Amino acid sequence: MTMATAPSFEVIAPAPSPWSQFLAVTRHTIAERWRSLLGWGLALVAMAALQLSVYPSVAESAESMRQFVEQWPEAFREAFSLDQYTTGTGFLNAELFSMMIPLILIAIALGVAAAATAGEEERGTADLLFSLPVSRWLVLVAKATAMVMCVLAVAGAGFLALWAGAPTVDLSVTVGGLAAASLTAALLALLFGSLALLVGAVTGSRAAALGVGAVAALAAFLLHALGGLADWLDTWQDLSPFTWALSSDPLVNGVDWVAAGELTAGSLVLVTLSVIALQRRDLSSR
Amino acid sequence: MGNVVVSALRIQDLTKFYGRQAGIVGLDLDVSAGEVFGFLGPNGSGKTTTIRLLLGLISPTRGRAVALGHDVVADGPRARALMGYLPGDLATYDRMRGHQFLAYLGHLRGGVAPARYRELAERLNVDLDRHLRELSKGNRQKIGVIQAFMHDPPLLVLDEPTTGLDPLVQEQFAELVRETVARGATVFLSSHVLSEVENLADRVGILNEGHLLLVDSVDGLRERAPRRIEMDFPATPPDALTAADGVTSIRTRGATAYCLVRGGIGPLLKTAVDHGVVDVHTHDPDLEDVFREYTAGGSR
Repeated sequence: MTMATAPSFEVIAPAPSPWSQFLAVTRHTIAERWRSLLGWGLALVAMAALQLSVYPSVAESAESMRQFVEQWPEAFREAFSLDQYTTGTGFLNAELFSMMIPLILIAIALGVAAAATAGEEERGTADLLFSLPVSRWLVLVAKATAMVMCVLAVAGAGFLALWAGAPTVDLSVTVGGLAAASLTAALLALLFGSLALLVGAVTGSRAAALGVGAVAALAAFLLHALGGLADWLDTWQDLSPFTWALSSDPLVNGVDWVAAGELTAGSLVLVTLSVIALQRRDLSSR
Repeated sequence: MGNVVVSALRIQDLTKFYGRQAGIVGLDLDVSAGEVFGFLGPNGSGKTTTIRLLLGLISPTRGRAVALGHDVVADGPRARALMGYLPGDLATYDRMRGHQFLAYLGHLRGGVAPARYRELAERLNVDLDRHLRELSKGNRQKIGVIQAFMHDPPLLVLDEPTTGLDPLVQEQFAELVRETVARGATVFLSSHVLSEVENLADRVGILNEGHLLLVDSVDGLRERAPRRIEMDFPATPPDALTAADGVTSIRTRGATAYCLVRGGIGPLLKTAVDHGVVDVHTHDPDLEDVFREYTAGGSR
């Protein structure tokens, strides 16, 4: 018998380019969130339009508004920037940038983060995804990138709506200020999103990722908002990422790069920990 | 010089514990290139654990597995690039259309020509333009079959793949496996029923409660299987039949003897002829009996 054409022991594996895999996972993740993203974006734009539409009457009644605001406790006035309520930037801070915009962006970030690996595990698609020649770290980094893009897209929509709408109601705010405030809110949201990503990577549970992310965000918000009300809370206030992000008033003073750096570094640490956690874990089967 | 037998899949002491509970214990197995290996066991015997270990979805407590020269843990992505995987109940991205889904997976595999998966879809008769959530379970499983075969992988890892497929599609699936093997691919095929794999597999391994109990060729398994033989005699069957080699049991009713024989039936036939047997009916050995014998007391 002639020697059979023996298959070589090591078969050379096709090596898909990590970059194109990264793009594919990022694009797919964004496509899966597209509808929810559109909904949040429209909600944010509608809210911005609504707030802008009432600004002229607020500006007109500046004096009586100032007296009304003075009845509030000082800490509250500080937390929601009520003292400058009748100025354009003060109004925007109070109505949008101190709470609504960060909370909407946080909701988006948590949604993407919880769906990322935990969501795929719960749906059972993780087995299929990771049976492909992709590395876990690559999938996680792609999902984190998709989260960044989703949050920036909606923050950008809000920015555009305010930038286009402000002049129509004689609200004086700089483009740079709007951009800085929007960017800072996005970085704040991404910090909590990264936390949810980590919880999802460690537990494989969507509910845990959402729950921990939401509770942490709520706690941080309350700490920031109420911190000034009681002396004993005052020292703790600085622990809240909301305080890091908002205390320098980016709408007026531009991006506080130290705060932006802190938020970004925090997110990067959390994403790195997620990669390590996911790399080592047994994926759950349905 | 003879054939060079090369392992496509080499599994050594592969072990997985979930806490104290054993998933699979000390699995040693070599699957040769070009072979179809049937991996049999009742539900919960460790089949899926083994397959998820091979795909790097879970990591072993100890031991290793090497697929076509690539360690499935240390060199996971490259090992998986050479594999096609199909679980019994495939979960899909149900908001996608069939062709989007296959294009996405193909993309992550480094590119699969749309013509290739369209051809498979046509053959299996499944509509790729429908959203996956609109497809029946059987049609979704066809999509699963397509994604497992579309990149012509040299190693197919199939975990109870025909669950949910109707018999006609099961036959098409078997045909696809045969073609793939004819091209030189290796197939690792799990099932909890022997009949599902006996027509495809060269060898089978029987697994129970995490332990591999037996590895044999399908023919070898047939040898082990008791064969039923009925013999008609002119009068009461002779007692001498009981003494023939290989006979495990005999019942008689009237002039007919019902025998169970293991191994060759020669000695029994010889004795029967010596005693003037009139007619003989033989039945194919029932492999399910062997399977049941080995997995009795399992979790089924």
